[in-house]
Amino acid sequence: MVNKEKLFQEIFQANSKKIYHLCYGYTGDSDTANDLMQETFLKVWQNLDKFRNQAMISTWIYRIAVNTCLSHLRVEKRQAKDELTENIIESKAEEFSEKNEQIALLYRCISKLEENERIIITLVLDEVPYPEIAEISGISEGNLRVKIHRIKHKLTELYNRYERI
Amino acid sequence: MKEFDVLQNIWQDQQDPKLDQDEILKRVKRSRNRLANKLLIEVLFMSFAIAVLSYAWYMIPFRMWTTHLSLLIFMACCLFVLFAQLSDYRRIHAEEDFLQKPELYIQHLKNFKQERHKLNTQKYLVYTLLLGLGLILFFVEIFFVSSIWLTIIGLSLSVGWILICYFWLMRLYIRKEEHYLNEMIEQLERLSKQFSE
Repeated sequence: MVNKEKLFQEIFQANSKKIYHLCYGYTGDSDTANDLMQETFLKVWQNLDKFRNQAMISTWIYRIAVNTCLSHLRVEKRQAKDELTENIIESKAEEFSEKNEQIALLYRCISKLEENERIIITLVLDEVPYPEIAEISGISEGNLRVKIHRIKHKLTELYNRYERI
Repeated sequence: MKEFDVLQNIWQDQQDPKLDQDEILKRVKRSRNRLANKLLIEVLFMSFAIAVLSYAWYMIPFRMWTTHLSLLIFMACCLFVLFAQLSDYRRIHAEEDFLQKPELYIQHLKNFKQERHKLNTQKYLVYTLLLGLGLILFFVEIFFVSSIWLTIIGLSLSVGWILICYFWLMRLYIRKEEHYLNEMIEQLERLSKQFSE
């Protein structure tokens, strides 16, 4: 049990930020991203024994996060958030700065993309290797490269358009 | 005019969220226990119903074969509900499904919807018919050992309740669940299309 907790903590430390980014990019809302991240790690904990023999733990966790995001509607409709609604992330007043504004704008632009594009681009932005993204999203690497090229272009256009407003 | 590299730099510069891993660990444990308790309560409730039926069957010297058959049918119904609950519960919380590739996960949810529909319509109809048959058989002996009015009132109330459940409550439940599932499937199909494009 102690080993399990230790392993969980290591996994959490190594992946939580990227998973949060993925969820935030998908939902465009920090509270919901927080709920989804918690739900993802709940599933990670429940499946920890199955993880032990896996070489690419991060791929598994990303996949759980992606599927959790995809079934977000189900969670939302069930309103079964109960404990998950409390924020794990420390709430603090956002500093007003140009940098924060740029980040907020970037998230806003990501939220304008289609759902699968949001997932893929947040992984790209977090520099997850392409073979791993292909494995997570279940599409071939060739298709993925084409897709990524298109999404990058779309996101850049969106960002530049919104920045001018 | 910003290029993608600039956006990537903005992304990399964002402040990392402060996350409390001990707190999340505490919550995942609590959540797991809550799920286990829910399952336990459901199993205990149905086991209690089966135990009461068995006790009544053993203690009360029923004389007619119809009553024995009715009790057998009731117990079969209880077992059916118990296994259906357990199986659905396990499917809903089959966390390994979350480890599948997205398209397989979507397929899993679609299958779940189909099976729920089958359970709520065909299987529930069989369950209702069996329960009704069981009641009719049970009241045959009641008719011989008590007054006709008691039999009529008892049978009417029981069958009435079953009919209310089947024609009103269950239909409301099915409508609500299907509305929600259809909405979910719609979104999932859209997503599935996006991934395959």
